[in-house]
Amino acid sequence: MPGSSRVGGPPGTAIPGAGGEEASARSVIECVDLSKTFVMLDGQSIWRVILGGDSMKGFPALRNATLQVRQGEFLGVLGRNGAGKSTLLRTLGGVYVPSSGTVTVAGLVSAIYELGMAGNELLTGHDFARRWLSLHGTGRRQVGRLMSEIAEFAELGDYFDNPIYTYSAGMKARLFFSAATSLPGQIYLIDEALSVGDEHFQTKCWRRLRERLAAGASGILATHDWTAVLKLCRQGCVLERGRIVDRGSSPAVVQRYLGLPRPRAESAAFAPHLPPVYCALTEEDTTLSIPIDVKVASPVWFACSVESFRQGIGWSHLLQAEPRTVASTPGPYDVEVTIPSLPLSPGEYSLNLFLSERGPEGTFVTLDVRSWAYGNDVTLSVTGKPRESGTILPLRWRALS
Amino acid sequence: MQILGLDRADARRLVNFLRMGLRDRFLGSTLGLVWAVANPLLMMGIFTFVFAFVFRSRLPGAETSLSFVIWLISGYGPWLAISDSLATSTGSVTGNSGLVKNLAFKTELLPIAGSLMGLVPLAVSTCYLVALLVVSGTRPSLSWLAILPVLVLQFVFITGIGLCLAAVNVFVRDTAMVLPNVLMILLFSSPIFYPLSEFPKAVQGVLQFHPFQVIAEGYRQPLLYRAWPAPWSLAYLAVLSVMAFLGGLAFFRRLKGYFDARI
Repeated sequence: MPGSSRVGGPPGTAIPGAGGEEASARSVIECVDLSKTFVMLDGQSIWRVILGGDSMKGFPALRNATLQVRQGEFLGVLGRNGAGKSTLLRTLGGVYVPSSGTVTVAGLVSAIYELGMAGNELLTGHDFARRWLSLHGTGRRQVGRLMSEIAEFAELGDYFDNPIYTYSAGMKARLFFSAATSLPGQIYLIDEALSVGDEHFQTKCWRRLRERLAAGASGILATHDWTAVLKLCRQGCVLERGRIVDRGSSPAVVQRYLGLPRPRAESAAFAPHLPPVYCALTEEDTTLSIPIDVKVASPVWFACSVESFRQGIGWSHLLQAEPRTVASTPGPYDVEVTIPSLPLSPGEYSLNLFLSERGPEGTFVTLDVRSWAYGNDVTLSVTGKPRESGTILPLRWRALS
Repeated sequence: MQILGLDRADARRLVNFLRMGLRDRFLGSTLGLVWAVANPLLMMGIFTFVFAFVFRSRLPGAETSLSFVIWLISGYGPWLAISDSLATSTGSVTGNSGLVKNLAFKTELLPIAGSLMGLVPLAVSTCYLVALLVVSGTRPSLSWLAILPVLVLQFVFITGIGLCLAAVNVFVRDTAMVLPNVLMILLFSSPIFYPLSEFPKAVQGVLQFHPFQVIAEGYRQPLLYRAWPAPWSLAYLAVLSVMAFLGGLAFFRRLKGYFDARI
């Protein structure tokens, strides 16, 4: 299905409430007020439907979902079994006809709705892959190249030419994933498919996704595996009984989804006037002033780190400072964090701040946190001259003869 | 370009489904596609043997029993194709639930492809028939080409019915179970195994308009008597086929929105 496929509605409909901070990237998946109701049929209503009537009863699997995915991004959709994740994906992918609302998908869609083999188990892996490609309208010239790519990626060896019923569950999944991601699609709709195979194969799956992302692919990952969402998606949302009940940056969504408790911030806390964004310049001496309120007369420890998110890889530490005591008496303080010649190239980073006290056995007890892991981090926005590498270390080297 | 809401990509997909259906039917068997030819051929062979050498059946006024076999197969061949088409298209949506659930495509292509599968037994039986005709001393004739419009109309007609049955079968799976029995009744209620003149006079008038009689005659007239089928019968079949096809397509498209409740 090349080109743009649309279901109903005028193009370019405004998306209300779909967290769009930066409208620069083109949106490739959009749905507005999307609902899908499955008709419930019993002995009587079946015949009424067949003879031209309508069924009264229905099960609303998806209710008024509005979301948007911009080019180059993956949206994570979290939800328990039966929350409507698969219905959402299938409706976006055009397999289900929406009951109401509009869907706009711009680009070639590669979908993995289930790891079911859409085909006969008597087929060999080779024939299955060929069939998959031809069903997706792959041209004759491309098939040859893609077939060898699939065979190589699935690592089935001689089994590639054996019937699928001789495969183990993991081998089936590998074959299916290889075929389904072989097309350099622009849009991926993936349902629970990233936990297939052994660790070695999973690593390959992730690498393939990163390659596709780097080539500008976008998509939706629907799963209950929140770690995958943290790794792949900047934005996330939670489905519950067919409704989108939460949305935002994926760590924040995951934190609320898991119901992780936040520190109570009683003994010490970051001040309410802590700015949400700090600005800094590349390779300039930087001082960040962080306001805190201490309410007890015991030592309070402060730590901070700068971390960044890369799609398909997840979060990584760039800079980290060891915990230090900053106050031992109640009162408002400003903690000054000084970074000489800020070794970060321009971009958006996550500034993570921790206040803690020493526990009974020398451990740290967290008092208050601003961190992506809790979904309340502070942004460190770095501007300046672009650099090749993400971090700039004061390294020098020369060749010795 | 679109015809009836189907475009070029759909045409390509239709060819894919045809190829898939043909492969899947005989998948796992050692001889594979050979069976597509061998099955109808065996059937025809048995009929030839039984009616030409065991029963020695004759048409009223005919001299050899081979001419009865030729007459029989010229009607039974298309019938075989019709029953094959109907059976395949009826189960086409339910049998391909994996595709229906995982691929965004126009599901009406499945019963259409299923119906076209009947072309295989039809081709086999027609070849067999031509061989019999040549053996019995008939010279090939240009008028044989008159079966082509009948063939097209037959598939348009059967596809329309197949679309209806495929849609109903999604909700009432008994459809596929009942179908063989209904087909058997239809076979013996239409003048395929015995000529129209053997039926009671009162029934003959009605049976003339039996679609299967019209189709069978459409093959028999050109192949056996080197004559064009009666113009009224072609016109009648054309109207019937187009109505069946458009009706079937509309019916299928209305119901396919409910498929996800059952597949």
